Amino acid sequence: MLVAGVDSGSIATKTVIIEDNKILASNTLDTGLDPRRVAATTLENALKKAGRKYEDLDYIVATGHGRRAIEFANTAKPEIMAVAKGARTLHKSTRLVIEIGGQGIRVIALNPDGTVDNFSTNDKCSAGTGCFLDAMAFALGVELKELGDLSGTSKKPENVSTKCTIFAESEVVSLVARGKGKEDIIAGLHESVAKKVASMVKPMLQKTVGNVNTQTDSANGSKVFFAGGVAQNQGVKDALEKVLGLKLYTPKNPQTVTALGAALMAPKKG
Amino acid sequence: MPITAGIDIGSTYTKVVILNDLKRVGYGIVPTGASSEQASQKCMDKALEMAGLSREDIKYKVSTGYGRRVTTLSDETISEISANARGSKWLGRELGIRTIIDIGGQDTKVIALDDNLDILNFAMNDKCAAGTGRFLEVLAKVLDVPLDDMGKISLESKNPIDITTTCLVFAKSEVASNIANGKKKEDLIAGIHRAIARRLIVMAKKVGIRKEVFFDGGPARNIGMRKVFEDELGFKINVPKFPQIVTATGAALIARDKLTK
Repeated sequence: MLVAGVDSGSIATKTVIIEDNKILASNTLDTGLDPRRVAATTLENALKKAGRKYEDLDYIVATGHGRRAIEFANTAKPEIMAVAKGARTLHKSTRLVIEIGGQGIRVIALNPDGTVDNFSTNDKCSAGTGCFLDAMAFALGVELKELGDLSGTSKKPENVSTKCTIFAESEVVSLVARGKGKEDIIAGLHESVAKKVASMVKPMLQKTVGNVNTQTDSANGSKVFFAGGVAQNQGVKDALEKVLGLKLYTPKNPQTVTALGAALMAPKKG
Repeated sequence: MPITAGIDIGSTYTKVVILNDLKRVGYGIVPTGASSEQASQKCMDKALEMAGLSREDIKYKVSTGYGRRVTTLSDETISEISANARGSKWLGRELGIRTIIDIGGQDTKVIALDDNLDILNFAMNDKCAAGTGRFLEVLAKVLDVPLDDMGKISLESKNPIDITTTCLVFAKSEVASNIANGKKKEDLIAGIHRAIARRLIVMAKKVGIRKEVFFDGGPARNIGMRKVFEDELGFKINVPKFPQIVTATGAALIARDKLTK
């Protein structure tokens, strides 16, 4: 059975093609101002990579912020369910999912059987999201993709006192003007993201993960799954592990976990 | 009577007011920029020039605002809440003010006064850009409309478009996509003003809104802002002639209080 999962995020659109629950191909593009067209393009690109045709598809599942605009999908699923499904499938021991996307932060607690127990999201504020990091990269004159590597070289993270993206932009500009190193500012920004996310994670930690033995804790044994575009940033991951005091499991392609989960939610044939 | 000055160093603009015998004889408004010290010096010179006075004539200076400690000009500092309340009470002394709404470049304040005009309670937001002057400034840029024209243009709107997001970063995307979808600028601007007013009113309700309401700060110059406040509240509000220098005026009055005590 050939299925596509299309995740129309506020910033990036992701399509994953699976056949009998195995990933064949994926494609990611900027959502821009026309989510419908970009969703169709990611689907075409992913199909091409998989060497398949549109007619071969048995089912298309849409998810994400713009899921209702994707009229070529057979069904639409909420992203909370989709990311939980994707995470649990990729990493069986997952009990808590942290997903940081372009505009959204989602923390999802799972029951032992993998069903969603509880979740929280950042609906109103962009602090800690991909947008926040994007704005900071722009203010610093560096590429978004470089942030993780740059912060890795910091010896003394700068304290960034404002949480608000808009105010942090001004703060970053004035830190640069005062001669502070970019790597230290970025490390400070990653800490700020980690603190914001940790404040959402902590209330759910005890029930899902319990006490973690930091001596024996490992990424592969972790019950906490880190997904979303921002999970590609090693600096954020390191900062988050430090603040939470535990290791995070991150898959190879954290950005496409939700699209994968959507595809896995297609009804079985027959 | 001693001549005094109030210096209000805000995140966006620095304002100086010179007071002589309970009259404002000079004022200055300059962008704060990177140096509060430089901005306050420059602003003081402007105000002195208007007043036809020199630095020695000023007997006492009180600074307030976000950068109040970063200037060598002042003899004393005071919080913005105290300075704003002092200025508002004096400027609106014949109005019977009980609630003050002050919107700054990077913060918003609501001050509740009791019947003796003492500060009863206040609420302040300086953590989030939503509802601040920055919200207007950034969205004016997205709309490609001069900030000072926002008010006038919004009055042409017949169907304001609600801004559904709170965060300014999200509102930027929302406004951009509305423009891409062919929505009218006047409707978007009216919606932006309404979003700010609603946010402020939620804050104001926490401290209690009682008439009369006094509205000041830079965005109070915006006629559209004032109109939506009145629409949302259902009654008229009071805006002083120079809403941007109310806090600096209050600081100058506090300086005068010190000398005449």
